[in-house]
Amino acid sequence: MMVNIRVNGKQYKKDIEPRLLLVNFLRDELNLTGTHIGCDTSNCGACTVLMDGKSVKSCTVLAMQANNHEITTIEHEDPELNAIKDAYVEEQGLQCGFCTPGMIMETFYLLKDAGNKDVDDDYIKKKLSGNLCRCTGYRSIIDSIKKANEKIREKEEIHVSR
Amino acid sequence: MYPDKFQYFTPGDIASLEELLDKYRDDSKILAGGQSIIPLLKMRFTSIPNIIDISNIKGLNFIELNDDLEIGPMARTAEVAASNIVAMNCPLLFDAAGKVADPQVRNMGTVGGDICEADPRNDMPAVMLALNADFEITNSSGKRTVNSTEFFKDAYTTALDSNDILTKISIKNIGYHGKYFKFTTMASDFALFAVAINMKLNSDETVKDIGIGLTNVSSTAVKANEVEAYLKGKKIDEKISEEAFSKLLNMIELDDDYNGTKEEKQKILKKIFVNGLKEVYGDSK
Amino acid sequence: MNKKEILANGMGRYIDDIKLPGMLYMNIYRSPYAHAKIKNIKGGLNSSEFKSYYKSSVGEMAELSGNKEDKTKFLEPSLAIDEVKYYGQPIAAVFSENRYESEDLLNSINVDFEPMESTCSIDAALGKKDISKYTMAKYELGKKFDEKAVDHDIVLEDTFFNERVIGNSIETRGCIADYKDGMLTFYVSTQSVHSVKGGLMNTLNLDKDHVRVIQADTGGAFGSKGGFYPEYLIAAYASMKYKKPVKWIETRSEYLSAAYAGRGVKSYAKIYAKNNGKITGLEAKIYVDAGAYDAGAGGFSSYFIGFQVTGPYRIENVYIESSSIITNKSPVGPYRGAGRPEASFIMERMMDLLADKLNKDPADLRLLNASDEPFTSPTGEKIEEPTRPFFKKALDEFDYYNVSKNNKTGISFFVLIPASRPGDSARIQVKNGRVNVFLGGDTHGQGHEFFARNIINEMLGVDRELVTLENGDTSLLDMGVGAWGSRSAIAGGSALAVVCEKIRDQVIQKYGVYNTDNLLNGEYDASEFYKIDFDVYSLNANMVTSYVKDGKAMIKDWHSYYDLGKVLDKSNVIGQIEGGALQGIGQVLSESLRYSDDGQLIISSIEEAGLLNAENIPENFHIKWSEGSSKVPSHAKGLGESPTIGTPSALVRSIELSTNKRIRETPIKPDYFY
Repeated sequence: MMVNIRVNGKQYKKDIEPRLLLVNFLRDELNLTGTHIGCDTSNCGACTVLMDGKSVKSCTVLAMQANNHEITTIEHEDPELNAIKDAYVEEQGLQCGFCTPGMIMETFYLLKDAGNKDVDDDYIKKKLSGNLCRCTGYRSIIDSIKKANEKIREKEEIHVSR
Repeated sequence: MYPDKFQYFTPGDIASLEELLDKYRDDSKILAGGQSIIPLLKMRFTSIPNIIDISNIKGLNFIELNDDLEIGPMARTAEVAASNIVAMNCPLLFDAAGKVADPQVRNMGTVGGDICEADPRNDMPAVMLALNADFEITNSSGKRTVNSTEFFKDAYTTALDSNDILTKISIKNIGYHGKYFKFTTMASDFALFAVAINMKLNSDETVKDIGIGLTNVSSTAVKANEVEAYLKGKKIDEKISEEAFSKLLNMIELDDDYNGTKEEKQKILKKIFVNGLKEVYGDSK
Repeated sequence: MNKKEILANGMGRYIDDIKLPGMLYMNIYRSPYAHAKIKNIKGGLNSSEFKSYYKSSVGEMAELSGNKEDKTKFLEPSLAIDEVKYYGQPIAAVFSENRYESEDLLNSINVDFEPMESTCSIDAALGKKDISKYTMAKYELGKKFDEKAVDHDIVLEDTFFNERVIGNSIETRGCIADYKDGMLTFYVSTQSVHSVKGGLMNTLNLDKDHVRVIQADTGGAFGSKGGFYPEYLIAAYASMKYKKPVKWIETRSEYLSAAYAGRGVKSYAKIYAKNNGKITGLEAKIYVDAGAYDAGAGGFSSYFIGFQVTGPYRIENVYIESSSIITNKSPVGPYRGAGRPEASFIMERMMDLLADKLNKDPADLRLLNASDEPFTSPTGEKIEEPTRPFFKKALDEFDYYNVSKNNKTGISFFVLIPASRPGDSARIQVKNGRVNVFLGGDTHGQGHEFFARNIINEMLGVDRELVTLENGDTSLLDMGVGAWGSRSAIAGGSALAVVCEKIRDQVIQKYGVYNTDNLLNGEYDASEFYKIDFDVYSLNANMVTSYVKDGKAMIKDWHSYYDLGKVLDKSNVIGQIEGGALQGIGQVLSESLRYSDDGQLIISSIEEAGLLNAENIPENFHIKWSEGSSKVPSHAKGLGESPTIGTPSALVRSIELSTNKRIRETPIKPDYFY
């Protein structure tokens, strides 16, 4: 079946099997291998991408369900997403790196979704309940998210004052 | 871990959907968010030759307050969990929706799908039973309304016929106090079991109306009718709660499994139930 | 971009990211029974065509135990031959150019099973008439003693059990075999390309020049990717047969059923003590649920646990009987700690029991039983430094006596025995103004690149950004061991330090003097296997405080005081400690691989396996260390496994102070708190 999916700002039209999962569409059809498969059962969140700006687990979404929708992956070039990546590197929020793209995409979503809420430990821990990391013990991930939040807010302030 | 082959349809309106369902009947299944069905397909626990995605049908995603609180089958769980209308009128649903799975699954999954899939571990069936919700069901011959108490038949089995569509969830019992007490093991998002309580008091602090639903204590969600009847008209205290729990025990079937023996689970459930009643009763005063 | 930047941008190259032209995807048909006769197999690649047994070689094993038993008795066939002995055992393989269709092909396999009686737990095996039939290995450690000959006032006994848990790296196992023109190139997610190469050579009768093993970026391992697996062989054989590259990526449920699990240890301990708290004797029986084959570490680990059970305490009379029990389960293997946490759990639990019995402070009791001088335990464990002063210092660092007044406080004290032997290798290659580092053990997330950069910076004066740690590749470094057993900073770091000296000498030889410009302007290459035939033990302590809320244990403060030798990279150390701590916590609160009585694995997801999420971390980490002297060139001591050793026993103690119910098992069951 034909699908039209916009991924990271680029339109892709592909003829696919209806049963193809979104994660395999991204990885195998588009060669965007930054999105990972960790658990198969929508627990670990390594496959997290944004669909129309909201985080979803691409191992549990059919590529057909993304037809005519917009997908954002770890490969997206976006200043805020880059700020998050920097924060993870600076705060050692990754070790083996396998869960990291999913963590970063969920971070991207949870920071946008926070609105005026405080991005503190409690908020982050709750919002991160769909992402598993086996290496870091999460402390450095939480610190990375806080740092990313500061980076993004700082930029916004600069933008506003200008 | 990939699904077996299937045909995939995206009807643009209810009439086309009805036509597809009439054609494929038992060989088809409606896909809303897919968060319950896709895992089952991937594990090949089930194989469905025709998947009908309803996300392209307009008018199925709504959260509205008319006489009742009305929710469309494509309303995402995250939208329900973030809705002011739901928060103001139905705190039980608001609380429970925020406790379903995790943020990503809530973004994709729907309250309607959670109900229709009727996995005994799903959260919404017990919540709907506690709320005494009505379900508007549509098929090619017309519409009918089925109360939640008549809806959940068994694990993965509901009153829906193979060509039926859940088109609206209506909740009359609004303006109540309520909460969803979900007990999970440390690492899990699934309820080991959960208690949904919806409560309204008379001015003398006796219970005017109460709805209680339970998740994962039987092959399908359980509505605690006898317990509700027992509690009506009473002020809730420790003794009454314990008596209520002993009545509840007749209505549920806990099994021994790796999370514990039946007795061990009863011990936990009792605490959750008794504390839950106390908390919602306190909030209602 | 450095490695972490590459990974954070989703540009890592993990095994499933590698695609080769014409590649086939392999799926494995696995046993649905714990024990059954195979009367007939139809379809797929099966043992009627490919009949072989494989040997696993996890480096730290066997070396210490001197176990001379004929191990071939317990070898696992690559594909089941006539019989399956555990749920998940590979029986047949199917192949397709499309990964979805490859999975579909599993339906084309028909196996006629005749289910047989299975023995699926230590208790079930111990209940059998002839236990020797269920014994893979048996050891006696220390010396049998007569109760009357031991000076004691009281005797205490208890029974412990640590359920099986598994590494559960977020990336599962996987490989690509590419056989072309007589050469097998094998890409794999691993802790050791050398152990994989050895396994392939031995079984497929290939010589060393015709096998090249390349490590893909490896998405965590925690012991479970240290050894060799039958699926690797099947993929390699298939690539030779079909003359195409063959990729195998397993599902999580396959990982849970067939990758090597850890723990699975039951023990009975008996201590003899004086009323003042001095322990004078210890007897223990230790049983390891080794699984159906001696493939991972099953035969050896019972020895290793018994060997170190007394830890930092000087106990005069010790007698341990230790057995690896054959069960109808997947082979047990190393999981972060690999015997060390099990040993410490026994000793530390008995310490706490004795403290309660004598109404003494558990810390005082530990101090009393520690030693002011080096000693050798009756099992042969050589403790080369006094343990009492270290523990005293740890208690000070923890502010134990104040904290424990107002908090439910558990402490643990243990010796870390890294797998330092037989050393490891390193290579440095300088060209184009950059320094490339190769290590014999393969990093899989622990951050070897940090210590590599720091060692190069310190010893050769090269800017850290100019140093790259390459993934394992047997064609670029032909000797090596692996990354496990808390050994990398000791063995890999030392090899690297030795090679730095060699490089330095090369520069001096050329220019008469060393400076960084001379180095970076030229081309240099040196490698070395740095041999270690001694132990590099370290003393370590943990303290944990917790409280119980809504039926769950909440960890308030997690403290560590570890002797790390020279800290090669501070933030790397902190990351290792925090990650390890959560694994230790997981073992206590939620993690387990659970089987039914008839050997069916009854969990099928990572969630059911009990992996903790961010909501379960300690409220505060207090990470401290000492930098004691170490006799290796990197001056490092071990670390990786310490948090998984010290956390369980300290945490369960803290929890039982809230509930007043003694804990003897991990994980704690949900009803414990009610």
